[in-house]
Amino acid sequence: MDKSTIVCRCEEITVEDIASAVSQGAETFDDVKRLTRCGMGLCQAKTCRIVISELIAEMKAKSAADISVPRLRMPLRPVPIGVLAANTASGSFVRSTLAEAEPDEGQEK
Amino acid sequence: METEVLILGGGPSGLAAAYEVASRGHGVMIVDEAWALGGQLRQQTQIIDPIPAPFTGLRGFQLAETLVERLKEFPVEYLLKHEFIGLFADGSAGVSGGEKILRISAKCFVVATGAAESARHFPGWTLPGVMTIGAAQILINRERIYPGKTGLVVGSSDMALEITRQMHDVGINVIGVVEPTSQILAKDGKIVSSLQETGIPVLLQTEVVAVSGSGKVETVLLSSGNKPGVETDCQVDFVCIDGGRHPILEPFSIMNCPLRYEKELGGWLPSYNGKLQSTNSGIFVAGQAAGVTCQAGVVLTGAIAGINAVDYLENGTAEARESCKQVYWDELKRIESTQTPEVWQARMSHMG
Amino acid sequence: MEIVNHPVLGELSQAKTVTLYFAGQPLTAREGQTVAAALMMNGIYKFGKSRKLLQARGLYCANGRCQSCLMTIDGVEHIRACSALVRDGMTVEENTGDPDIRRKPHGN
Repeated sequence: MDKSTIVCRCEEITVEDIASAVSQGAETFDDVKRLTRCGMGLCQAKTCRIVISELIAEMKAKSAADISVPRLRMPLRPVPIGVLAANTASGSFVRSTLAEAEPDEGQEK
Repeated sequence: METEVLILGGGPSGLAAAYEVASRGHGVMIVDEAWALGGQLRQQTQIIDPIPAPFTGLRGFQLAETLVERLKEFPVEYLLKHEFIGLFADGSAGVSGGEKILRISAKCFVVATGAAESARHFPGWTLPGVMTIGAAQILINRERIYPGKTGLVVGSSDMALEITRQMHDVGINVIGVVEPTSQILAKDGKIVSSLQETGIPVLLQTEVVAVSGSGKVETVLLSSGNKPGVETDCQVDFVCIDGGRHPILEPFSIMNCPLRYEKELGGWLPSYNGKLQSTNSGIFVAGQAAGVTCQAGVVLTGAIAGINAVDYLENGTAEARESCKQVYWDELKRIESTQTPEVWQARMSHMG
Repeated sequence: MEIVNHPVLGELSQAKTVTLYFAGQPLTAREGQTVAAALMMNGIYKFGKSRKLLQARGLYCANGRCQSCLMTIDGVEHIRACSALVRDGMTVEENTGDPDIRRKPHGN
């Protein structure tokens, strides 16, 4: 396989980039993600998760079951930032999360 | 907004779950990101077989219509074109249609978000004209357009061979199905022989070296394990990738449901017990999200999850519901253990 | 090109057509089609460029997941062409990269 083949379509990370991260000690998808940005683009690893996990397993001579799943985070789909932050009657993610968080001692909510 | 059972995904399993809940008098809401119900059945034109008795002989899109139709007599709420994007701190669901975020609180969830197609990578797989095999099926059967005139399929699962046959039937010239391993991955003999009738060759031990073209697929370079060193150039205008399917995990990650690896069920998936309930109480798993299986498995796990959601709401089970569940489990066992015994085995071991 | 005669679904019904404008050029599409399908029916496969290497991108998963088909629709950037339905008079532009948040005083 051509080492310059893209594996993460969004961030355009190649097989070589993954190999380099693995040679630096990366063992999981999250490790490789932190070193290369793979899976941090628009699709949020929805397309590359399996491809890259299999590559890591192959490079580390492990089975696919040994490569843990990366943490998948909110929002699960692209949402305009204005919608996320908007202060509408139905409430917003950003505001609600802040509103529900317990403030540190001495800080106002 | 409030509901008793919030179902994520309006495909066959979500619709089957909704029927079991709604027909027992409980409130149910279905959220789906598409503008129509039916999920991936909407573009399936083949007759679904095997399938439980009331649905015998229906084509995929007709099965979707039937599952939608039988919900009409119940007050089911639908939120189409809305995506589940996350959970609020109190456990209510955040759902967005693009203009605002709706907050939906529910007593329990049925997560029926299905499976996604796995990718295969080769140089040029990002070019326009390279698409998943499922995308090609959407184009020919739902959008009624040709993905191209001359194509190549990479991968040989049942789904890939079935869609290859459908592409052939609408007049597309599929020059071949390439399979990197030494055997066809499809397990259904009827699908394999149906493809063989077309004369489309399945090229085993063959890999895509590269796809190239100026702004769009024009040529694909193949190498065969049988003829080392020889690379064959083919002129095509589209390439379909079949990398198999895997359960969609994002909702489970957000809901803190522990995951487990089960190769025969499509890789990582949420842990669940004999009630199809995830380790997180009140979250039921149904359909392909509970393991990649046949359509019968999708509908039946949806129905079982739906009844278990009713048990959850009513703090216990009832004899009638237990016997109903038993019928579905027996049917699931009969179909899965004959069609795909490894899937049934894996499901049993997964439930522990 | 449209599949007029389908072996299972039969002849294509005479749906209402709509006009959309791709890079200013009028294109005819069938009502109920996605933007992605409407463009491909008109021979347009390249929907935009990748953000780093600026390579051509088009439809990949057709299911709203891969984000490969992002386009600017009615002036709003990063809309999935596979999941947006056509509307009469809709304008569609190629995705040229990350949005320029400084272009307008308050973004889009």
